[in-house]
Amino acid sequence: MNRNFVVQCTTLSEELIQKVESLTQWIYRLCESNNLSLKTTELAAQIIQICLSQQCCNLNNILLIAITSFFISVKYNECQSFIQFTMQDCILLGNSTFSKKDFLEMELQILNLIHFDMNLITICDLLQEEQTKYIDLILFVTLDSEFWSFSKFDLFKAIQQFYNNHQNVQNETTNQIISLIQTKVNLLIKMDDEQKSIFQQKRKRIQKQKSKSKIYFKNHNYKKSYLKTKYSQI
Amino acid sequence: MSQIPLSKYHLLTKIGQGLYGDVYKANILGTDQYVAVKKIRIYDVSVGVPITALRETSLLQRIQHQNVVKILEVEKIHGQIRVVMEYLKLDLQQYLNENKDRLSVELLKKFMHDILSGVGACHRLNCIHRDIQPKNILIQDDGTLKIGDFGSARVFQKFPQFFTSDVCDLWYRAPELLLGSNYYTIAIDMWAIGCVFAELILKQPLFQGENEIHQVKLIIPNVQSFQTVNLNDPNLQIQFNGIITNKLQNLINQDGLDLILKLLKLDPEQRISCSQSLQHSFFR
Repeated sequence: MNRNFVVQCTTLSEELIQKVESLTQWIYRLCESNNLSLKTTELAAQIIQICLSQQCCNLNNILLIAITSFFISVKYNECQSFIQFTMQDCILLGNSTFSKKDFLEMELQILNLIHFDMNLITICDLLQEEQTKYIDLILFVTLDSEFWSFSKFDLFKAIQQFYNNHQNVQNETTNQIISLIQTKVNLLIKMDDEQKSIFQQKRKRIQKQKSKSKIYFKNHNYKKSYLKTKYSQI
Repeated sequence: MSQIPLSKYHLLTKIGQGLYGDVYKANILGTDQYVAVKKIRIYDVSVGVPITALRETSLLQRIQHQNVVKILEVEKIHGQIRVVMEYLKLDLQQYLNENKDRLSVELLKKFMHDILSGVGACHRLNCIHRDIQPKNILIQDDGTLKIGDFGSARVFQKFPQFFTSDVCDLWYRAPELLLGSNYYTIAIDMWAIGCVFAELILKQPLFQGENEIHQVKLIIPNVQSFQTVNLNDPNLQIQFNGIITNKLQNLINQDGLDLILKLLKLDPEQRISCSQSLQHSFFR
């Protein structure tokens, strides 16, 4: 079975993909706030992507798919004595929109889709103990839908090359990923610069206002003291 | 009219109770081939599909090795999920109970080679079995041993990870688990293999503790307080009682005894691995 997010999903709307992107980010934040491993985020993200690309689940219930994918990933990858994540937690995460039965049915549907095989290769598996070094880049390619069509192995290779500033990479796909990462990083830097310049402009404006108010305050004080002395003289 | 899918397997008799449901002997329809069918039962709705089932199906689909039991398919039939595996009628525990005679050194070597090869295949794929014991080692008709029951197994990453310490049958539980460690490694499987090896020689379990404290006391009799036990201490050695030491010395050669002692090192970091064990002089 092809487990990459290869585009059997050309028919998927931009809106749906954006929704999935935000749900993946939400899952990452859930993992982060509960001290769960990065692999759990990666697993959940992959399951949602499989559901999307195979279009076997009812995509109208994308929230149900996302929560169930997270539930299965936590169950498979996390230590049960560290976190007990139950159907009740799923119901709470879904604001009681879905019942236990809904989650149970979706779980079976998803597990059938992946043939009860949770051995989905993750970038964390490939990087092993080095994953902490590359954590930002792993997140970068996991949360952004433009990277979902690449295999985990290609992403892993590209992340390593990008991080270590390797030029002249032989592999075309790796090059493609690296240039995509670079474009995105440039875009972020540009956005960051724009924000900085907006921030600087704001700061200048504030400083101007401050200095104005200082002058005013000085004048005001001066006037006050002048008046004081004047009146005292009287 | 929609057709109701039919199972390819005809269930014959219930042969056991697995971690996540009943196990049946079945035959493939139209053939005389037997398979084992495990029905996945959702015991607790709040947990959904049992974690043991999920881990077993995932890991067995990944580990393809002649000394690891084969998973044939996961079948969904009439709203029920069935894990279909190869059928092996005997396990090592039954074998040891039924055969009272002493095992020959050649057979011991063959059995240990199969066990180490099977568990080694799991370890190479970053999987800890966490429940090695004679009951979970199955015997094929031609005498080949296969590691089974991956319900407790899990994938690990190559850095310290928090795991539950409540794994492994008490008699085969490594000292670091008994002392409550949550950051253990594949060395816990090596300890269990050491216990199985000794059991194959002695024809009885090596350490038969009644509870965790008793189990630790059987392994390290001189321990005063569990809080002060330091498994990394080179002076701390495993101590068999006199009867077991005599039996082992009489029943196995020096190489075999040396392998047991290397598998049963108290310090998990000093414990021999599967690939190192297979290179041991015992197998030459």
